[in-house]
Amino acid sequence: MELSRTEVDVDSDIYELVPGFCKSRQKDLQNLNTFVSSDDFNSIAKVSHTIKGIARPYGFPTLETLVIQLEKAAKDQDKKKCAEVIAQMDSYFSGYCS
Amino acid sequence: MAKVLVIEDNVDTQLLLNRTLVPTYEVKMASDLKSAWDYIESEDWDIVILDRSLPDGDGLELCFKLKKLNLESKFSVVVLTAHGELDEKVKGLSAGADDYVVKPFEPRELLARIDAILRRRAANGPQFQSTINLANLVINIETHAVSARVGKDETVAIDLTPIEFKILLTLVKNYGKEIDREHLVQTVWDKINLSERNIDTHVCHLRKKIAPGGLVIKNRRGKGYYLKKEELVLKKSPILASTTTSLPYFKRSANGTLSN
Repeated sequence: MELSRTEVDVDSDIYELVPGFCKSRQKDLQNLNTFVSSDDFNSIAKVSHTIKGIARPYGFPTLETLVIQLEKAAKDQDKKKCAEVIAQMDSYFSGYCS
Repeated sequence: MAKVLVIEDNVDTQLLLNRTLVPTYEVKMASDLKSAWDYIESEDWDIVILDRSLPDGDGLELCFKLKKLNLESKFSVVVLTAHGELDEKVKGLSAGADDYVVKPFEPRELLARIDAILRRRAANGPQFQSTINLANLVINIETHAVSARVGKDETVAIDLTPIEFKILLTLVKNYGKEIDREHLVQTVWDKINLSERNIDTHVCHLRKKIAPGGLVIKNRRGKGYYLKKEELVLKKSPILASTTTSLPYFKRSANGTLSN
């Protein structure tokens, strides 16, 4: 996996960790799709809550905005909105981490 | 180098914290409360960085446990969590956390906060020591165990009631200074309307119990109680000192005069 670019400046030490971060998030995306299919809103909320805490320090503020929306949609048990945000995250990541 | 224990289950956050903290501090990671407690019991720490959503419970449970065991001063706790609502912050700080940092966090800000806490700890130094040695008395602030060294390698345990322990700790922390009854009552019972004379009975018992530790509780009329080392009292009394050392060399005659 090669990092294309990040949205904000991050410390060079942290920058080295970004490919690992992207890999973890792609795994999260797979899980999130499974959770949506099984209406497992608790797990969706949990994953979004976790990503919310780390997206910005790794240089991904847009991802943070998306997971905030996703966490809310999961708490509202809004399946349609969850699927919509997850699709946005998917396309976002395909643009940043290749 | 200060020691930092990070209690965090998310690997990406662990890596981020590791990169942030390792150049400055000695850092260890625990992924759940159980393994964290093992670290806490087996090693001394300066700072614990505590996540809340852990696999085996809310991180604040650790704060409550520390409070229950009177171990709050053992180290400082920085809660690092994505629970950023006002109520959650208040809950965390009320539980005993020294600081509450909301994720996403700025690594540099977290470092600055940890530095500030460590500076405060250093400034308050003795307050954070778990054991106080005074004369021959050894007082463990964490476990409330008190003992007296009575021989080269011999110690005897001194069994104090919780109230006696609080009185002792207050007097030790204010060593040599008079503490009036009102202050002692407020410190020990946290109630102002309690009879101040009640403290006398407890002080009387405490005085007898700590005697093997070479400390005496004195009372200065109108001023209050204060703690002194027994040997200092003897040194301040030359008459008593000369009497005890001189008497064996003299014989008292029938008419009351001394001769050697």
